[in-house]
This record gives sequence, C-alpha cells and structure tokens, in this order.
Amino acid sequence: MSQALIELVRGKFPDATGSSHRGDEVVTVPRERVVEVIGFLRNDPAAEMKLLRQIAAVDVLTFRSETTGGGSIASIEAPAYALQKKPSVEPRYQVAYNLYSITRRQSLRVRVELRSDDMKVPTITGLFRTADWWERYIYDMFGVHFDGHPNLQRLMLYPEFVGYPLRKDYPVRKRQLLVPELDFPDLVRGPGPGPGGAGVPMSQTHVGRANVDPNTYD
Amino acid sequence: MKLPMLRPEGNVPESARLGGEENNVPVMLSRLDETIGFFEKNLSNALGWARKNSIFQYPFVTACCGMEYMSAMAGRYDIARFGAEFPRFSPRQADLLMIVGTINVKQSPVLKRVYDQMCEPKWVMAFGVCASSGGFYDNYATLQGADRIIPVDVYVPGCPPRPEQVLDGLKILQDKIQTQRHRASTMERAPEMGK
Amino acid sequence: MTEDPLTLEAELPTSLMTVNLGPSHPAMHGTVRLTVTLDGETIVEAIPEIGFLHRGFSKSSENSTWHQVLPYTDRLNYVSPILNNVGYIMGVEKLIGIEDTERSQYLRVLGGEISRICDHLTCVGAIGLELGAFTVFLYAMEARELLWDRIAELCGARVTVSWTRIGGVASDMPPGWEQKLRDCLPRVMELTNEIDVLLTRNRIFVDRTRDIGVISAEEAIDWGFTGPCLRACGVNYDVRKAHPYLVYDRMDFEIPLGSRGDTYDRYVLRLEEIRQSHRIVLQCLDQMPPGPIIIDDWRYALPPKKEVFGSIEGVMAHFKLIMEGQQVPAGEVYVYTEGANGELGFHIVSNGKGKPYAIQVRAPGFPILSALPRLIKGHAVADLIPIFDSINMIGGEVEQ
Ligand code: SF4
Repeated sequence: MSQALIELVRGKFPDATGSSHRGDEVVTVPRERVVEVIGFLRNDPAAEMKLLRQIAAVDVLTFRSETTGGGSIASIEAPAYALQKKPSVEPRYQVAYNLYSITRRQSLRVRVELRSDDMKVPTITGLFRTADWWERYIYDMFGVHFDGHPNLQRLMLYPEFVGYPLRKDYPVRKRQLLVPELDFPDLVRGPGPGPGGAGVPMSQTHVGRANVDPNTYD
Repeated sequence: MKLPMLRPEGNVPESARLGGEENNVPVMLSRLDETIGFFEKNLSNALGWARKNSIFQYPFVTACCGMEYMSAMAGRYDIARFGAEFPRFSPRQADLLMIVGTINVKQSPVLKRVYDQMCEPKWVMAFGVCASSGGFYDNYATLQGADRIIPVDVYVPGCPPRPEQVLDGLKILQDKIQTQRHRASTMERAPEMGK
Repeated sequence: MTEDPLTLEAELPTSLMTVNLGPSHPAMHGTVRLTVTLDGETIVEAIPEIGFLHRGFSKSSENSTWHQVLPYTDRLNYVSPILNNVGYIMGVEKLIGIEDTERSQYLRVLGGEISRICDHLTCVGAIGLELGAFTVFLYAMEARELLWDRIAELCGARVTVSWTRIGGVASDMPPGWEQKLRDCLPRVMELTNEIDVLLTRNRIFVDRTRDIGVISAEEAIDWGFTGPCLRACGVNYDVRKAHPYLVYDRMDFEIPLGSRGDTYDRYVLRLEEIRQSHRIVLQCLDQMPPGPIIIDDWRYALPPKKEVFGSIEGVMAHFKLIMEGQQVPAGEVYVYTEGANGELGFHIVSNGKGKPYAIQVRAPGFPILSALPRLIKGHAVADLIPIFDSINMIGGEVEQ
C-alpha cells in the first residue's frame, strides 16, 4: 500500500532501513533518531501520522532456538531448555511503534533495536500524550528505559515486583506474593504442583509447609 | 411463620455419632451438646433461618464473571428471590463476600483487607473458576484461587458460571448457614485487624 | 465584624483533600484505583492506577498453541468476546496468508455485530444504573439476555465463546436459529427504544451528561482515542469503513458521528450504533450464502470428524494439529479491527512454530483510560461516574 512511506522516511533519514511483510511496512531506525523520525512522520504533510496506535516490544532471545509448540505441559518448559542451549542474542530487544494516519489512511511501523546491556530509548511523550502509558507498560514488562519520561513507574505490576515478566527468561509461573498464603492443614487442592497439590492434603506432604518458599513453587 | 425443624445431624459434631457409617443417627450427644440447652438450639435455628434468608452481599467484582453476576442480579434470574437482594458496597454491612472474577497478586491485599473488615458472621463465595482455583490463568500474575488467602465457603465452578449455577451455590450456602451453630452473643474477643 | 454584605461573598479558604476511589468501589466497575485530589467538590487532579486485573495475557498466550490463545482473547473484552476472537484470528490468518470461507466471513460479521450490540447495551445500562435509572439497567440486561441466548445456541456458551477458528468458525447456525434471531431482534430493538425514550430526553440525565467530560478532536487523537469516544468528537474513523475487512464492504450502514465530544454524545452514539449493528445483522441474514464454514486445509483447520475416524491422513492431521499446533510461518504483523470500544489491535510475532512467539494487544480502552485524568479534571466528583461509564473501560482488555 504505502511503499512510498518507506521511501519518504529513507529520503529524509538515509540510515533507516525498510522492509515489508504481508502488507505491513516497517522502518528500522537507529535508536538516537527515533524521536526525529516519529516527529517527522507526525508532522510531515505526506505522512500525517497523528495516531500512535501502540508501542509493542519483542524479546528475541529464543526466537530461533525455541524447540516446538504444543498443548502439553512440557511445552511450558520448552523455553527453559532453549535458554540453556543458546543464552544470548544481540540485539535482543525490539521496540515497535505502530503509527497510523486517520486522514491519509496509511500505517507504518517504526522499529528500534536494542542491545540488552544498553536498554535506553528516548521518550516520545513529547510528541504523543498516549505514549505515556505505553512506555510505562513496556518498561513494566520488558525493562526498557525511556529516557526523559516524566513518570517512569510500573503500570500493571506493583513496585515490589522484581524482574520483567515478558522477558523470555522470566519463568511463566514465578509468582511474587504480597500476602502470605493461608495454611489449611487438610485442604486438598486437586492435581497439579504446589503445596496441597496432587491430591495429598497439605499436612501430609513430605515437603511440609515450612520448607516451601511460596515464591518459587509453581 | 413456621420455623424449620431442628436438624440433629447438623448440630452434632462428628465425634458424637455412634454406630459407624451405615447408621449415622446420633444416639448420644456429647457433653458439649448436653450443655447447649433446648432453648439455645432453637435460638440457633431461628438465627440461622433469619441469616440465611437475608444475605447482604458484597460483590467483589473484578473480571468477566461480573457479566454473569449482572445477569444474576437482573430481571430474568433475579437473585433477590432467594433473599440476597441488595448488594452492599460497604464490607461492614455485608454478610457474604462474593469474589467475582480473577484475583491477582496485586489485588490480593485488597481482598484480604475487605474480608478482614467484614463483621462476623461472614461467608465467602468463590464465583467462577478463577476465584476458586485460578482457572486457566496460571502465570506470574494470578493467585491460584482466593482460598489461598481467605477461607471460602462455597465454590461455584464455571468460566463464567451460568446464573443458575450461582443460584444453586447460593442455596447450598443457605443450607450451610442453616446448619451452623449461631449464638446470640459471643464472649470471644474479636480478632485484630489485618492479622 | 463589618456589616458589609460583600463579606458574605468572600472566598472561603479551602484546602485540598485527597480521596481514594477503588480498586473495589461501586463506581469503579472494573478495578481501577483513582486517587483524586479535591478542592471542595472539584477534582483538581486524578491519578489512575491500573493492574488490579493484570492476568498475564501475553505471557500465557506465548505458552499456548495458536488455538489455545482463543479463550484468552475471549476474556480480554468479555462483553463482546466474538469481536476479540475475530480480531485475533484475523491476525493469525494474515500471518499465514489465507482467507476464510465466504460463509464464515458472514458468520463472523453476524456474531461480531451481535456482540457489539451486547457491549453497547451493557455500557448504556451501566450509565443508567449509576445515574440512578435502575429500570434502564434492567431493560438493557433483558435485551442482552435475549441475545446471549442466541449466542449460546450458536456458539455453545453465553459469554466466553471461543468461536472462531483459523480459516473459519467452530459451528454453523443450528436449524431454525435464523428465525429465532429474527424473532428476538424486534424485542431487542423495542427495549433499546424504550431506553432511548427513558434517557435521551430526560432532564436529569441530560443535565448530568451534557458538556461533561468534553474533549476536542485533536486532543482525542493525541491521546490515542478510537471508536465511539473518538467519533463522538466528530472524527470519522471506523475501521469497518476505513479499511473494510471480512464482508463489511458489502454491508450498508452508517457511521454515526457526534459533535461535542462529551458524555452525552458518547451515550447517544452508542445507542445509534446499536441500531446500525442491527441493520448489519439483518443484512447478514439476508445475504448469507451457503457453503462450508471452515477452509479445507488440514495444515491449519481440524479435519472433519468423519475423516479423523475413517482415514489415516485425517488421524495424522488431527494429531499434528493438537500436539504441535499450527505451524504458522514466521513474521510479524499488526492487525486491527473495530472492537466495540475502538480499534482493537494485535501485534503478533511468529517464529514459525506452533506457538505465538509474542502477542501484545492494543486494547481500545487502554489509551482512553489513560486520558481519564484529562477528562475529569475540573469537574465535580459526581461527574466522574458518568464520564467513567461513558468511556466504557473494560478491565480485562485494559489490564490484560
Ligand atoms: S472464571 Fe472465567 S469468566 Fe470468570 S473471571 Fe475467571 S476467566 Fe473470567
């Protein structure tokens, strides 16, 4: 639809690279230029991208090494094996800005790639008000720092939370409880892992309540 | 109005039953039960009857189950027919805490606080599988059932449960309330807040 | 002490007061926590805090097969689940590069528009309920029950339907269903009209919603508004018209537009959209072509049961699909459809395996909720409730 848009951006910023997949146009820009590029797209009369749809991020750590999918429990552990095999990929993170122009009915994705040892992106809250929460969300889930954001705090999770859950190396079921769990001596919690699980009343589990760290069982 | 009859099996503790499994009729009462006079038993039943038919609920609505909760409240299913008419949005005025929807880790201190603020006697209904066991959300964010932080009396399964199931759960809770022992007053000290 | 009458009009010194609303508060349906700073009755500042319903949608989805994600999408916007199903499955189909059958496209539009009616009815009912018009709530619920019965007959569940499949839908209309739907729609519209009569020209209602929570078009776009909240400001942007997907280009319907961008416009717009969706549903029923409801491509769609039990290829395909999931080609797409509250987007990344590699959702309510402090600033506390209702924030999708 709008290969022209990529040309437009590349005409102004020669270090941007463009690609296209199934009709989605993407420009990848260096991190330092992201505010410039998005500001240009917002204000240029040929682009007029006034609507910031979404900021998304991807952690490509296990993109190639992940074994297979499947509905079984084993597949939940699959990323863990993949992690052991191939620990690092650089640049590991991608931040994608999905932009749209209501007047011109065209969309474009601006992508920035980040190395995991330097996860800083300049903020675009000066261009779009809505970027405020999106950036907080990405910070919350991936730990990407947005330089210059007025209020970069966790959005969905709580301040006590350690780590960033949508990173591929965060275990799916690693909970960080805020309230200690009750200890019912004879509560049976059905099959599954965890205290009181597997049909054995909690008082009879050989693990014993005291030895279980509520943050680590799953 | 006729009060319900005394139900022996409800008021008799397990230890007082003789005759094994096949003959589960209480033939002898324990010391404890002897000391409860005839009057107190009838009072307990009367209180139970009154309490079960005027349940003031506190809907702790968080998620999708709230849609079915709305249906259960509205005209067609009309939970008011079963004496649970009025949602009270103050925990101090409520008897029944309905946990409607997913409880996640961030929400859990709030839920515990609300539960602690409710006055005795109080009951808790876990509405939907999320509140009962975490449902199919098994990840870093969700609590695997509200019963991991507060005691629950009735579990209503379903994702979300149909309103009929909710009404069924309410009836079961009413039976439970009827057969509990109610006292006019208690000499126990109130538990401290937040403990 | 002077006797000067002017002293009576002297300013009373007030001090700011901070009040906490939520997360469990009758006015905060959903689980938002608002910390509002008040000067008397006027809201000076409001800080929303969300996340009390964060259920890890993305993380759970990344650990399930493509079809197993469907139930999670139901529970994003649980008032209009079919629209979410359709949005997600269209993303997967875009990644694969296939299209579903014609009949299934009609069915998706049909189910989606019924869902949209339910969503708007719930929103309007909730506005009524919280402004003291309980009757409106009961009418809206009754209308919604009628539609949910039809949805239950069509999909097998009342709320969480998980109805779409890659390349089609899960079930066809049962025999006689079309007539049932045609019979119950007039009743739904009658109830909608009654709500209209009760509220739209009601003095109390108009006074409490007119010019409350106004936002201009430019500002709304800046905040990322879409859907009814944006159209209430007069911006004609509806994905169904701007980029027609499925069979929306064959439907004859209008996009209602507001002019002032206030709570009242948002309410009227939703009522009007119910009528337009009703039109679409009827057109779908009229135009519905016969044919298969799911594509015949065993790499993506489950083979029919007869083949599974009767042929080795069927068994193999079934086994592969269930155990390994659909092998969706690698790629990254952003797909957008018109949800009930605005543009519903999914940013999906696949690495060519049986599970989505990454999914993030652009919930229409998310940017709108982030603008809540802007909307309620300067209004009285009592105005907070209609404003909050009219943006129709759904906890499941906003907090994921
Ligand atoms: S039980 Fe199901 S419907 Fe209810 S809150 Fe949980 S996911 Fe939603």
